Amino acid sequence: MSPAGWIATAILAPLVTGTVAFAWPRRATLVGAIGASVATLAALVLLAEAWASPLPPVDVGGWPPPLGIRLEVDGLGAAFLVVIALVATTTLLAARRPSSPVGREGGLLGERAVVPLWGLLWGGLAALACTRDLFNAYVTLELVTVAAVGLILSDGDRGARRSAVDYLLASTAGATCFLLGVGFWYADTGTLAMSAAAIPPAGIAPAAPALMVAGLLLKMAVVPLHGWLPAAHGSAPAPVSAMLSGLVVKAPMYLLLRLAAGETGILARTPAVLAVTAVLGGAAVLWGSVQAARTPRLKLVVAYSTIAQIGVMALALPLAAASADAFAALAWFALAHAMAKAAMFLAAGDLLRLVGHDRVAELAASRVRPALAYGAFGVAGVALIGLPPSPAFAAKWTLLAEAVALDAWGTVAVLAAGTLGSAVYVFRVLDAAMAASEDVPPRAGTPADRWLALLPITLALGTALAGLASGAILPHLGPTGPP
Amino acid sequence: MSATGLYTACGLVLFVLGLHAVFARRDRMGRVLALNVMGGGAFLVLVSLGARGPRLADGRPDPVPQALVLTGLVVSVSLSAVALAIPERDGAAGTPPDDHAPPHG
Repeated sequence: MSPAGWIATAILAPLVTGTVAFAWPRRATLVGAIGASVATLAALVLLAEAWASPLPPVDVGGWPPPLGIRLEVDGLGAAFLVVIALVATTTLLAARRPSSPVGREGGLLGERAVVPLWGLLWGGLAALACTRDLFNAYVTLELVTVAAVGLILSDGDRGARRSAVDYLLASTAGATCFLLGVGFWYADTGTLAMSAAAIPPAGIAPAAPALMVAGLLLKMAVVPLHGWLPAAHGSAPAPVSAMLSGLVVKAPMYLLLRLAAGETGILARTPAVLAVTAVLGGAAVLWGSVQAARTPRLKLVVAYSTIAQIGVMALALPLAAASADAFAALAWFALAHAMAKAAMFLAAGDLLRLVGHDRVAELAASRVRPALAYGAFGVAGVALIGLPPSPAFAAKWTLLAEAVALDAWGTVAVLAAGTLGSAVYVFRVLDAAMAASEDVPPRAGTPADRWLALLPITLALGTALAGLASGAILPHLGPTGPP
Repeated sequence: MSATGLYTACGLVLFVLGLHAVFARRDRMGRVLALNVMGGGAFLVLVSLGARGPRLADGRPDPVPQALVLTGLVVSVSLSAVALAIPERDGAAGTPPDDHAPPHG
């Protein structure tokens, strides 16, 4: 199949899978599994092709931009497609296990909606990975938001509805802010492309990039615009939280990376916007780490960890704009975090299910010690903290080197503090596993389900070991020029 | 100020008013309406900036901002519908997730 065919498959397969699963709910899991395999295959093929030689852009329907939609997959886009496929497949498998509570605990949306919403979310993310124009990015982000809100509502928790609405409103406010920025951008440059080449010699008003970034920061939950995240990610069922923290908050970050792409990025001309982003990111790292170390609930530890790690990404954005190596490192960090965070949420979910409660302080006192679940959490924690050989280690090393080279000592200090903070909150949970106990089976009535622990441990191990291939992967994640 | 300049200014005012209300208000309906006002302001800015920009060969205004607004309207209506369709039968405004409810993984 031509690259255009594979791009179409990567986007359409999840959407079609969702539709078929909705029409045929009895076989939803099978349909989901087939669709996931096809979409993952398409992503892998595109990765192999995009990393071998640049792929030509595809104009949907043959209509040229700006009224038509142009799809293009480069090295970074292909890598994002593969990570989306891996995380979405793993979390979908976890969500569809018979003992998983997703869609089965009296939420607003029942079991029938789970696979279709997964397909919608995946399709939206895949479309974002293939798009290079600002307005198409806006539309795909909104699609992802709707699907994510639907998934949060598949949970019966009382707090889920409130947090779903808060998330929807905050995310849409951010998207409208972004849209206003796109409007100013188009008025100044006459194009929707994400390229600094479009900026006229007289320059543009900083309002356009500032509004776009503000909207994206709100969608990413960077401090102080983070209020909606802990409740939304903490109250959803674990596989859903894994998708939310793993992929959904990565989507605006991916877009932010595209905007900050070195010479050709829009943000290269507005250092003030980059500086503000970094400061807010730094605040997020510190605040998120402290809250993760203090919060009594396990899922909230992981949710606050997301805030801290998103903060690291925002903090490192000026570094990425300054050098291609740092750009690739930040991209690698973001992709690896998506996988590590998803694995961590799945592990936390399994832990919760087996231990029976959510309180970190009492985990050590519990007589139940599910080894696989703790192991999965630990390996995911290794990948998150950035211990070798995980990708985060290679990425942070490069970012620190770049920060030192640029004399950005504040960034160095916060990066170091953030890494220490992540170690604190990961070990806070693992501490419970180290206390002596006898091997006690889970409480009566809890179905033993090895898959719910095997899935996260596989994802986490894969992520941690992927760092060994950093040298081969990083050159493909660089910023590419305008289409 | 020209007519389109007035529209742009009004659009910005609406945007800011809506943005403030989304975060300041506590009732669901008010926040959704605020989101719509915010969106309306953004659309007004887009269209009026488009009217001031370069025109097509036959004198019609640039169709791209109008296409953006049409799509934006669809997105806005869909999201408002989703936000309003969620029933409000849970606890009081601002309650965090229940710390003592049995978790379920």
